[in-house]
Amino acid sequence: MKTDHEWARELFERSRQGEEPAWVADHAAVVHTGRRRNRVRAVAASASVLVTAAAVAVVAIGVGAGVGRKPPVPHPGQSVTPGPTKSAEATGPSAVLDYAGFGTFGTVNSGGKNFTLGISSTTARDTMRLLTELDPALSHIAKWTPPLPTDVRLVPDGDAMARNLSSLGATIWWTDSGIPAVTARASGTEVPTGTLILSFADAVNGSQMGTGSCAPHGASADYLLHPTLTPERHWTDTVQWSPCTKATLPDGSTLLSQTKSDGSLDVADVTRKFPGGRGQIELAWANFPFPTPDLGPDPKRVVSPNPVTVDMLVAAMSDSSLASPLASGR
Amino acid sequence: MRGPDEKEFAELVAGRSHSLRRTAYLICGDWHQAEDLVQTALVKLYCAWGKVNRRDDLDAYLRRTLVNVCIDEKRRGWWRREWPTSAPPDVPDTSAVPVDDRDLLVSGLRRIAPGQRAVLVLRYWEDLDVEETARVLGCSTGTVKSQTARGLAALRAVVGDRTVSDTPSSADTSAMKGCS
Repeated sequence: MKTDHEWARELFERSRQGEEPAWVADHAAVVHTGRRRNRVRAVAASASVLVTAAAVAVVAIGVGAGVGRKPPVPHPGQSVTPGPTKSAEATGPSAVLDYAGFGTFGTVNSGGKNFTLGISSTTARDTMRLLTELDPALSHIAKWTPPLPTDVRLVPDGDAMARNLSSLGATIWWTDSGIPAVTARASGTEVPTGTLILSFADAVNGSQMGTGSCAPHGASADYLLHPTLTPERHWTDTVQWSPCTKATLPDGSTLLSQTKSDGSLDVADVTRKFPGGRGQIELAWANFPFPTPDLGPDPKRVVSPNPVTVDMLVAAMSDSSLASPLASGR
Repeated sequence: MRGPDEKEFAELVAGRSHSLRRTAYLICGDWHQAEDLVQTALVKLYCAWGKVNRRDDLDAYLRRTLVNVCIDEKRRGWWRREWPTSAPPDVPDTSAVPVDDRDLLVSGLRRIAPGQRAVLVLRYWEDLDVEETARVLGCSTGTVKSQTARGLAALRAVVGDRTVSDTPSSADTSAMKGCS
């Protein structure tokens, strides 16, 4: 009895003797096909290189121009050391769009309706400086997640979009846990939420807002603690502002501050007017969301105890490194 | 990538194409398809000439490529195959009687698993040892041994101890056609 191996050897050996159809391999066809495939591969490789180069160029241009939310080149002396903490990450100017909802603005030249809001590097840096002064770990200031749909981008100082701004306003939300701002402001939510309004105005707008007067003409006028409808059908607040407090900073800036309260409701407003009519920055705080005039503040959404006092605002606005607003772009 | 010298490549094709076709025929069971598979393997060699231009590597590369294109052809989905629509269908005549031992062998190989078939062809037709077979197929020597044993058992069960001398010769018997 043959083994399987021996049996297979014999079978395969016998099979070598069989007839087979005539055939001549077409070497010319092989060469032709091979060359064609090599050409196709070369073209595909070249196309791949071109596509990759184009993609890299687009990304590079986007980053260089500050498109979208990409950060501009940091200023000299500015810390760019990455760190694991939220605060360290957020203090970079690029984080400003995550925390400050820029939405209101005025322009010097209003030509063109499709205006893209350009936030200069200096404005971004000063905004983050103010926010981290109030909330060093940024554990309460809520991120805009997802980002606001407005077309806002960071641009270098001197960029045409930044130069064209005459005023600029941002809304910042504050919660105990720092939950995303979109959640905090969602309809029907009962999350206690504070509101910071940050406004920049150039020389023209600043002077129109009443130099030497403590009467708030900015966003803080919207904080109605006890709304009342006047006979002229205007909403007004029966709660009065405190007397105006004025201080002069070493650089000649004037710091104006005032508050008003009603029970657990607290509002504070601090305005820094830069010397020589170089514009102003206003930072207003309320420990509740914007109320609708007919209803007034929602007591369920009051952040209590009040985490941001007027003294904190004054300290933040007294920072000597704050630049005169929007001037850097001119 | 630089291609081979035309004359050199023509000599290579002429010298190896028939041997390769026989191997391909044992695996696929169809002479025409075997010719196509050999052409495909040679084209692949031409395209990869810069990588395998050493003489010692040519045969190993061709063998490996040929087995791979045979397996790829088997794996090709039914939707990518050509299906004749005119009668008669090009399918094997199961009633056909082998006219020689090669037909007998091919009819048996077609009835065992493709992996076992490739191992047996490489071991007993190409006379490769276990290690060389494992390199060509890209598997372990243990796999080659086990596939060889199972393949031999399966083939012997199908073919038995028959030879063409055991089968009646007939003028109207036809060789198998078509690929499994």
